[in-house]
Amino acid sequence: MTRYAPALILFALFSAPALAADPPKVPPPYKAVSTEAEALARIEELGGVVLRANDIALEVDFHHTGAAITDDHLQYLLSLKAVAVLRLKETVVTDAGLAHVGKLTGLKRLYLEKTAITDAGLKHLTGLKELEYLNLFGTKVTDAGITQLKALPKLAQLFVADTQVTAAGIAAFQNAAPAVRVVPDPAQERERAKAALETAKTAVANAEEALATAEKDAAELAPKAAQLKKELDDATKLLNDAKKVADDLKKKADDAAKRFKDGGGDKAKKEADEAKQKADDAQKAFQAVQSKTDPLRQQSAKAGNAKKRAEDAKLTLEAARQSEADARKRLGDSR
Amino acid sequence: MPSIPRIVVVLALVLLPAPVVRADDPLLERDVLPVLTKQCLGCHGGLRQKGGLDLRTIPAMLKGGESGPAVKSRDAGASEMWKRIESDEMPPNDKKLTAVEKAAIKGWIAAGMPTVAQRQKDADPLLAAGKKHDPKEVAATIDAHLGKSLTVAKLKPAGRSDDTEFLRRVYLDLTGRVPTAEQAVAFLDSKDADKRAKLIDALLATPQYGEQFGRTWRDWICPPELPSDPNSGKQPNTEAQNLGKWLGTRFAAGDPWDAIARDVITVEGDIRSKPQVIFFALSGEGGKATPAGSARATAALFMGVQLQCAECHDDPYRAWSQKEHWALAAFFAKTTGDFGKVSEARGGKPEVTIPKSAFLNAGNSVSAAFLGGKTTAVKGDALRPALAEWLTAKDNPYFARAFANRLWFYFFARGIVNPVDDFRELNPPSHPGLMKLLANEFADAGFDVKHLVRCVCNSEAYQRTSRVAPGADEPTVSALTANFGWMPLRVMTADVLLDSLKLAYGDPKLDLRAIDPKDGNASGESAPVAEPYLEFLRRFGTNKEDATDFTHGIPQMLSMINHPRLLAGSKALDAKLKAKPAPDADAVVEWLYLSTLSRRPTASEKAAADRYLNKATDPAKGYNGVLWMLVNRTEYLLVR
Amino acid sequence: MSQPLLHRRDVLKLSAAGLLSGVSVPWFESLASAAPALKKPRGKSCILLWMDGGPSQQHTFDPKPSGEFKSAKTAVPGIQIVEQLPQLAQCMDDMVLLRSMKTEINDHYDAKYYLHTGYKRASAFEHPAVGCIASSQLGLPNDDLPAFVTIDAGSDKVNGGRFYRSVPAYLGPQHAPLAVHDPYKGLENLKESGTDLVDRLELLGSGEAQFATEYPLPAVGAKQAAFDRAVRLMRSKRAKAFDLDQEPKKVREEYGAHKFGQSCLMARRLVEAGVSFVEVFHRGWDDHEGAAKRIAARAPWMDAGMSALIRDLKQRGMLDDTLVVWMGEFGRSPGDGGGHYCNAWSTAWAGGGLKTGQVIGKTSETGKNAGGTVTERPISAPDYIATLCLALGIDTHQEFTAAGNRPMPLVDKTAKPITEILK
Repeated sequence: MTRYAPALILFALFSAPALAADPPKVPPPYKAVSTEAEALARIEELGGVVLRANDIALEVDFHHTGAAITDDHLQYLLSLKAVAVLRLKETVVTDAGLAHVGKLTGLKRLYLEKTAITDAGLKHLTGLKELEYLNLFGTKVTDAGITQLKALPKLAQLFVADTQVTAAGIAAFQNAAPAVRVVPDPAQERERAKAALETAKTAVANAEEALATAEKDAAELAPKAAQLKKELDDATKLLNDAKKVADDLKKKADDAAKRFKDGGGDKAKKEADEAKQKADDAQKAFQAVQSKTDPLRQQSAKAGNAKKRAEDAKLTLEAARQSEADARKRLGDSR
Repeated sequence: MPSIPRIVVVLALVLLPAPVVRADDPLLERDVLPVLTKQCLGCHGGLRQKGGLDLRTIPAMLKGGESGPAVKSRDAGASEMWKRIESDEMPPNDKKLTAVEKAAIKGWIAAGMPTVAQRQKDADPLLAAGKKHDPKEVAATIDAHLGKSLTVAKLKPAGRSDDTEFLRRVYLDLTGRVPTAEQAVAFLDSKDADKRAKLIDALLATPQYGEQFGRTWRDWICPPELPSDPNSGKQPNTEAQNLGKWLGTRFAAGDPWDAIARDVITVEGDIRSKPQVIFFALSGEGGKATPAGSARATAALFMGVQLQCAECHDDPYRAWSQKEHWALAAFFAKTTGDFGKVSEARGGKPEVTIPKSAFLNAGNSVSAAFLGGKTTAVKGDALRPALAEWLTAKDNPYFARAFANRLWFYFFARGIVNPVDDFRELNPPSHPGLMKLLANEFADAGFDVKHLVRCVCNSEAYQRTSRVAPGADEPTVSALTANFGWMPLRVMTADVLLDSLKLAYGDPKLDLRAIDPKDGNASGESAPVAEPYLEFLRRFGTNKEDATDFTHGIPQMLSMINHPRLLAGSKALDAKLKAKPAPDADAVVEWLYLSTLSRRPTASEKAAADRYLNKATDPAKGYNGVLWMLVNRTEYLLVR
Repeated sequence: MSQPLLHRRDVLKLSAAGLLSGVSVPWFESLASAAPALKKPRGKSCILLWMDGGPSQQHTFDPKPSGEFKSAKTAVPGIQIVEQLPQLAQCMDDMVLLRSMKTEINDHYDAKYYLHTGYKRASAFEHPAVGCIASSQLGLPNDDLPAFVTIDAGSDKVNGGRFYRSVPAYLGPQHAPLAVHDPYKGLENLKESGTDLVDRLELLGSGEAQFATEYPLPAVGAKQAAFDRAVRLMRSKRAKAFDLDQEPKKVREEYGAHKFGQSCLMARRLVEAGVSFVEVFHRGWDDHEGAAKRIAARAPWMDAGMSALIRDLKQRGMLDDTLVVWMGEFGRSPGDGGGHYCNAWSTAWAGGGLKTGQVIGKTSETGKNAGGTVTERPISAPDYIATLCLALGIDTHQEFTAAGNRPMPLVDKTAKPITEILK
């Protein structure tokens, strides 16, 4: 039966040490194990996280165990059936530890970023025939070191940013192993920075053009705004009158048509036809006035907000220039 | 919506004991329906009735479906339901009944299909209804009820709390804050044999009692995260606080619960003069009252009944039909309300149309009727008053028990019915006689809240210790909780914690909002809530469904550990230090313990404080450190 | 799917600390039978860039010939976005554009709820937000760092209605987000106050142990565990993830001198430190007076921050394991973007091991209301949430039990995930 004791043990286990001053962490030393289960238990004891995929491949994550996991401890991995993914990011493992890692022949992804790995360690990895992904970000490897990796048959991604690997080293590697995607790719980055700058420049040009148009409008139309407004008001009045006339005649025509339909005879038919004719004429006259008023309305609106548009265009241009400056800086950095 | 449990209580399942072996026969609601609900009612319940079979009630089982009656009393072998379950023909999916579940079904049929409902009906409150009793007499009867169930369950209840436990608990429960050091000393040092009862009376006479009960009900009515008024985007926080104050004044004045309920349900007018107006907009949608929302909230708060599922369809697991829900909603059909005011249209029929959003029976009109099927002719213009009159009548089956259950839940972190707003046949009270007793007493006392509080707080049950007997295992503790055989540890609500901190720090404006480490000010734009009180409520809000659930995490703990205010000293302490003659270190430490944990330090605690104070650079800083330690104690954050 | 081996003793630890509320039923049953292996996928991380108020698709990732912004080519032939986002254009081979979001709700708050949970808001029921789901499914229990962090990247102005806070609902409070209110200031109250914390903790410790002996109960264990996690976080090296001053000046500049970019940088630091889900929100995208001017002004910092994030993750080899999602609660009406528009809008995704360099869905190209209708592969809110979960390695078929014995599928059963982008 479960007693409450586990709660207490829990508290005693990790609460008490944390409440007191940080105790020096001494990881339990490596001890040979005989079974997979035992190895798993030891790994977890060290703070490692083990994940199982389809009951076969194992992923082991030592990230965050920090100083707890040393080179010797990596021997536990050799007791596991198949480790496909191994995360050793930010641990204290060294080149010596990679001698054990090099024996994990099923390994597909290996994370070594921000460790003290050097070229000397990489030579242990040359037997990893299944390795697809290798992260060496922030390690001490160099051009010479990575050339050893050319022979890895399945390698697809290699990360060497923030190391001593040079652009020339990357280019040479890339030449020798074109199937591998090496990150960073300085040549491509430069191309992209250039392309971004081109886009930014076009945006600036477009913004400048829009500003010029807006300013032209502002210069030409703004002084006329009052005049245009008055013209528009007059025209609108005319338009309204014409609409009223047209509507009246339409109604009369409809009435006449109804009378005819209700049996008004020939006379009614004649009246209806005449009324229809008049209504159509009025409608045409209305449309004629309208076709003059609409451009006027547009122009007046344009004149009315020309200044505001010019101000907005200025802001847009400013932003575009900011992007351009950023792009220029980035291009500079990528050289 | 208030009081609708949001957290799944799977945890409870983990911690609850394996089914206790029972000496008595399986009961429908307790033992059989949980199995049917899990395994059968999805297809043979309110939602679907495959094969024409409905297994929700005994009459429905006896009526049966296409294959005839589902059960034959006292003859499992001749019962269709048992035959199909036994052969694993049913349920048709992979999840078959376990052996324990099967035994329950078979045993129940064999025993003549006994029900909790019948036992409940027969339950004896042990105290005659019809008159108000002395609180101590009621308290003794409460204990008699619990004593019986503890004996049946072969459980030994926890002993009586010591004075420090009781003192702190009753202050926190009845006034919403810890006692001051002086109040603590007065009680602890008193030799009066009746001092507990006297303290209960004294606390019920304080305005803080009203304040605490007001805000407790405020939180039940207003959800912790209030919806925003769609027009202005503002949340009606001020209005919610005002509701709490209004309720508080009513509770403090001793107004009976029926009067308060009536004033809520029948309110008309402006929120500025009638804070209870908020009830309608809050329970509605988008800041507007809706008939369905008002009905749902009224049922949950004042009747202890959940209707939300019945809004759209007959509830598959509960007895309420969709029509019954809308018949209740019809009482609110002519109510218009928002966060400003509530008004009532006059004339027209007392009915409501089921809206399109309900996927069944949309467009049908339903006439106002009281829940439980009692039809009534309601006069056109007084719908809500009619409802209130029915609801608050002395013989209303829902009203008194709903309040009594909530009050019990408030004190014991567990209702006699759980969840507190889910009274129904499938969810019977754990102690039917006790439920009857409390409801009767409450109604007979004219719904006098203070009287009911007195009855409960004077009981041994309330005054038991929270200490776990050494060696008690998890199932035993869970069984004791279910049988009210000890007092569970509860987590201080945000309001209680804030008021207690204010007392300890002598700072009525205590502000624990984020501090910008660079400029020392509360950070402006990034501070989620500009108002210190609201920010505290948001940050230290607790689980309203389970007061024993400690939900604070890293942000809350970081505030307690590192907020500079909690290390910056206490004005109350300053005053203490200035007293003549100046108190010595022991006296100060004792005073600090009394002001926070409501008890004197133990010898080893004194020694630890001494060691710490000796290391401190100056005494004032040392005392501030001791105070910091005390408010960071688990003991401080919990109600024991 | 991968499964961690969480041992029985961890289970006991968890239940003692009250951390098991709201686990899915299958998991719960497997606990009951004390099976050693638990179904808990270890997936990826996610950075959600939330443009609160509803950003205009035509002024960002779905420009139209008749639109106010001109389009420009990107690193992927055939895909064009607005010329205002030149750096993001060059990240297109690491991105997927979903241009056919069709999500039914035009009201801010309800839409925020819908796009955060995959469920429509109901008055009586709360659904967990996607960040909380990720926390419950991807986070390591009892880790130093919480699995879900939100970062407030500030606002242009406060519009766009009430702010949505991620709620874990039935998953349990341990999956609530830890909130950073200002990336420049870091996590509030993380810094020790006073000089003698060690002494005070020692003073506290003895009393705490005594209390736990007298009251060996779940609430006590939960309090002490939470307190302990807070102290561990304060002392953890990983807490430096909250401190942008640790980052080289050059990197900080690359993300842009704007709160948004700096929030993106903090998000990267947090994911690097092991946080599963980071939500960065920037408020003020409810551009009722027209989107052109406003988005033109925001474009430089949005372009800088988000592209720097994608490039930086890539450099570090983290992009495969980190999904970046840019979106708001809906898009804007075609044309000037003045109105709310949920009928046809865009979200932009990057990394996450997706099949990147492609566009999913189409909106009408020309006509009177160009861009107003989805013409190919409409994506509903549940589709979107299901895809997001699957991309993170979360099993979308799980069912939880919410209050009142209500079975709640993690993702609405109507969801049709966008399998075209999943590897």
